[in-house]
Amino acid sequence: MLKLAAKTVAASLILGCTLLPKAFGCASCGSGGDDPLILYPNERDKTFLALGRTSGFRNVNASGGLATAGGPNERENLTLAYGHSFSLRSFATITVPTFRNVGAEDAVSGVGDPLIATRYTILMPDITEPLIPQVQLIASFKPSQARSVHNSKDSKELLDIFGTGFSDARAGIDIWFGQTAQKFGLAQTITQPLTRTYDGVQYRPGLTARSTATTGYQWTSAVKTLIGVNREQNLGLTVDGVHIGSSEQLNHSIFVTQDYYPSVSQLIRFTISKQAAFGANKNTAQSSTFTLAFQRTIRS
Amino acid sequence: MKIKGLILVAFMGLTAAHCGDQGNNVTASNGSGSSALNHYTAKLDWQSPLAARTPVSAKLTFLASNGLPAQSVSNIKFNPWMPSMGHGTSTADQRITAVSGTSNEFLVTGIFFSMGGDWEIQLTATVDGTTDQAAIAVSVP
Repeated sequence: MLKLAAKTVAASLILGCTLLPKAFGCASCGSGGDDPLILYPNERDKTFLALGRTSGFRNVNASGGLATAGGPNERENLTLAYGHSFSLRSFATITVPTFRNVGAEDAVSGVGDPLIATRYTILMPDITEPLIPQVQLIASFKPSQARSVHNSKDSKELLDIFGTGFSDARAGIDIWFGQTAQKFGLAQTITQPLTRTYDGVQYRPGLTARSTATTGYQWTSAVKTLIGVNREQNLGLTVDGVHIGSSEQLNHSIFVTQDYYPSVSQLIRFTISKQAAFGANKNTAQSSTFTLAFQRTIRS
Repeated sequence: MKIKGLILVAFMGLTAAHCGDQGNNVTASNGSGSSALNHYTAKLDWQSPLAARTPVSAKLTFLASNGLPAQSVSNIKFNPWMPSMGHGTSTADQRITAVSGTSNEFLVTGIFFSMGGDWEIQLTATVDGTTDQAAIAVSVP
């Protein structure tokens, strides 16, 4: 037992001293990816705070044409997250987003859908084998508690919408080559929203597949730049058992992230992302987001 | 190595910036739709420029199954619906009034599309004694 504990401590020290914060990361984390907060193997508890602003909303119709967006002209968000690791390989996070939707004459604030996510590292990075990636399994659940377009009380301005209206479960895999200065990662997730009934009508959103490709460069031990693209495809909506034709959604987004580590326990991250940024998009929304995030390890 | 990384990041950033302005604007048009049981055809003529997030008006004309103007129309329900998103919009300010001197023409005012995109007008009406439903596709800019 003591031997195992000693090995674990030694592994933590080696990982902490030799690789952090250079090697770790993931393809689908960060403000442009799926999960805003991840924990490195030597971190026990970590907090996350982000301020963001989204603007430039345009709708994209089924043919890919741009149209007037509904809802706010701008959306400000304050996101809080907390993460706890259970071992060198596993951690869980809870993320709570809050929003302020700013319309032409009014603004409405509210809490979005919380996200509970967990990751398990099935393949750890090895400093002696830079070509072996870190491989993580992802699972998450997002319970729907925020108002959506289906139960908005502000059906004209749509300023009280802070969620999708559907709980969803997600699973996926994240592969990250982070041992060298040049970095590369791929992630694939599948999300299944749960069926829900509004006003006697049953809605069943289709499966969503999200692919992420990320690359970047470690300029110094404290400065890293990442750029990534997402492709998100949804199989469309089924209403009362009938699939709605041309309701499939497609969104190609891009994000650029600049990381700065003031110390090994702190990270300041600036992200610019754009939804429906390139390629074919349909039944989605175009927007641009600026996010400034601060992460702090509170226990290693 | 650093220069290669910089070139890579700059190239991807420029590519993203140029790809941002894709897509054509949606164009709006008048439309018509036959009822599910072919009891009538409804025709929609927009009376004001079709736009999202501002009230618009339309003239609604009902033709009987033989193509002639319907003799009597009643119980009209006019429901804008966005099928791809599965939601409607506010109909609180919507008014339907008969055009004087006609039996089959109506003016619908206060139609409010909460966003642009592909909508349909879900119509229910009793035409010449028979109630039937129709859908008219509307592309809102």
